[in-house]
Amino acid sequence: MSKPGSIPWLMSHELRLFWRRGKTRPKSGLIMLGLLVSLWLVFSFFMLQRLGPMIPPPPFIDSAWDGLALTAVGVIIAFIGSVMLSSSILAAVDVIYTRNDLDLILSSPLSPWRMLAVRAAAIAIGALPLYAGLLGPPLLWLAIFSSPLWLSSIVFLVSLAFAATALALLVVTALFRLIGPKNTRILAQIFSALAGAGVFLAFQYFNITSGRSRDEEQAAMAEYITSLDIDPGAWWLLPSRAFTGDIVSTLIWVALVACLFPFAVFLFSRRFVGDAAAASGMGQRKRVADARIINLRGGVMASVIRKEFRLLRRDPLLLSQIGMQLLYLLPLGFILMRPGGSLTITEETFVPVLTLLASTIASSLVWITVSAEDAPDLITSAPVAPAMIDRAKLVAAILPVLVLMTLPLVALLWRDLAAGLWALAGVCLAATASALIGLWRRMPGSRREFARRRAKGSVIAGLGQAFVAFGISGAVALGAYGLPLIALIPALIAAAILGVLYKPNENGLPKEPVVVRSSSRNSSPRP
Amino acid sequence: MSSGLKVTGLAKSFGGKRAVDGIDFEVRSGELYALLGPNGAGKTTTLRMIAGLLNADAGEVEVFGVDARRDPLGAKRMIAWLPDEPLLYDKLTAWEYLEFVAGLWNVDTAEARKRAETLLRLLGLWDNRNDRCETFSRGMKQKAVLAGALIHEPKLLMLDEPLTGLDAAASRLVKDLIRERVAAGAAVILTTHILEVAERMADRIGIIKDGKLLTEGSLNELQGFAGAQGQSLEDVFLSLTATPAAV
Repeated sequence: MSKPGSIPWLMSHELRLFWRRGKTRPKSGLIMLGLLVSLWLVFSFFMLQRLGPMIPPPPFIDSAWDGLALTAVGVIIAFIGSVMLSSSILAAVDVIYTRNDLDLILSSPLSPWRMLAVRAAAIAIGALPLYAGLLGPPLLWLAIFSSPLWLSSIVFLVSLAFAATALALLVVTALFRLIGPKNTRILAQIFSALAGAGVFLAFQYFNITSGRSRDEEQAAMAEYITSLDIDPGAWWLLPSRAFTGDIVSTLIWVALVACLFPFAVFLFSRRFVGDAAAASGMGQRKRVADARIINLRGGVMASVIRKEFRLLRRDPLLLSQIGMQLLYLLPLGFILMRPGGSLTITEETFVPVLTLLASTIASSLVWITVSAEDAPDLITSAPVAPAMIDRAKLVAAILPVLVLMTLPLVALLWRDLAAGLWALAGVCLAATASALIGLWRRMPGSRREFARRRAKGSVIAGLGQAFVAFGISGAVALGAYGLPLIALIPALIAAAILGVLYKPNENGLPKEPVVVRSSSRNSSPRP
Repeated sequence: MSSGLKVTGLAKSFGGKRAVDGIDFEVRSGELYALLGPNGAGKTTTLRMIAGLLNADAGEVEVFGVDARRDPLGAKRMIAWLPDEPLLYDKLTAWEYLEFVAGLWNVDTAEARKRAETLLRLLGLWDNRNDRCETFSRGMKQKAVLAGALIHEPKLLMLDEPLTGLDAAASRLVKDLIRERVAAGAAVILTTHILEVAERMADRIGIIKDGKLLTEGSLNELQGFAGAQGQSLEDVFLSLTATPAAV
């Protein structure tokens, strides 16, 4: 057992919280995870037993072809790094804004620097499991069947997570200094969304705006890259070399991260206590009273819808997530908006894409409006039929989806009326179906758990929403491609799943007492 | 005085454990009834069943002559429920919160505006009416929830630990408001662990333990029941709810 207050002790506390977040039965989660990783380990063994000996041993630092390979690896690293940066920014913001146990820890005789260093390390480690699970097994077998130098890629991935966390801490510290506590949270979330989607979008943009077909594009790109004669020893390929087994590059990279990480933690922790206090609103100047008297508006249903719209509009996390989903739609938007361009992707392609997007956004919104009700007692004790409240919440979840989809739908209708109509039907059906499943399979939760709703919410609802969305998307896509009879098959499957998931809410009352904490408190800590 | 709330044989079990075990009591119009009991005695569960937040396994609840089981919406129209934890919408302003509550109870908009202004001024929140509730202290949140509870002028007011987190001035204000509602003919039922509050404010007191109502009545009646004449409510309460020490 480590000594209480020591770094290992604090780290085990952080990792325990990280592991337990959003889980009610950590042991079953561990078993499931172990099973999946074991399966992947076995599968990758058979794959790399054959492929491994064919892959030349690293390092790749000799020819121009090595330069090309390293550039490709660099693109993958940039993508992984951008996703890690995105999640680290959110986690770093959480450290400042989510007070949970901060008061307890900061009031203890532990150095804040030590505590924050551990918490920052926990953020980095928290960004790793996905990549460790996905890349770890094949890299291990590569090390056995190709060259042990491939083990350096595991070291690189760990240090990449620490580098992403360091950058995230610097970004959040800078934002706090530049724009203050109030706006940092929102901007950090937008920044996080952009960081996550940036690399993907940049490539899609260049792909699409060139106006060439995919084959022409690939050929042109290959010709261009070959003409570059990339030097594999170039400084900007250092991360790629470190990933692919060049020991010197790995050592330099690890040394750089070893300097960057403590520096970022130092800057972050230097004014952390003050920043955390500012974020919680302490020491703010007294606000000048807002003297406006806004007219009250009535109506039972209208009141619920108005309240839901206000809350949705003022939820930065929700907005940034929807923004992220829309960002991934941009590449298709680039194509659709290009006047007169010959499409390598047909208009019909947009039909399932818009349908799936509508379903995803509706499921997020309905979770917020139905499951994450902040004052369930107030709603239940009001003299309003539960069905009316449910209807109002459904409307509040579906309407914004339709508004968001208006522009792409109009553009699609303008380019291809039939595809546009199929997309319109798909969007309406998918949004409504997702919202209904969220309503039928509600799981009370806190609004602040939005980011972890998939982990905390009903598995049946999540899977149901996904399968129904696929069914409807498939149906409208087949319809758009002129196969309305075959389209009936996925449509019927979706309808059957909807029927199975139907669960009336008798009177809106829980069977057991519901303990809902004030949303100003957090129900579960985050690392 | 007419009957404001009549509870008969109310019972509720959770997983085989009897949380409320056939409780009977009555709160008259213009009366303040304090429901006291140790932690886990079943006070909040009883109030939640009356407010329609939890289905009872058995029993009847009648609110000003309306059977809450047969006509839950009719009963709810007359009830206000103030939970111990002030659950608000952080992203709404106090004004928007009151607008929402008034909408739920379908209060006429002109009337709602007038009442919202009166309540916010009275509770000292008028200058903060356009501030979001996330910026409020615990006491301010409690006041905002109280304003919401009173905006539809309920005939039955149910308050679960209404003074938790309030400073002395706010606490006095809330007590005054409760007395005002009682004087206006409302039936008020409250739970509290601050026995002095119950002693000073309540017309009648019910003591509940292990889901059963041990006794009820005025302070004098309780003192007589406990054989503790002239003693404080705290002494009476402790003597009635004390668990026999293990030998």
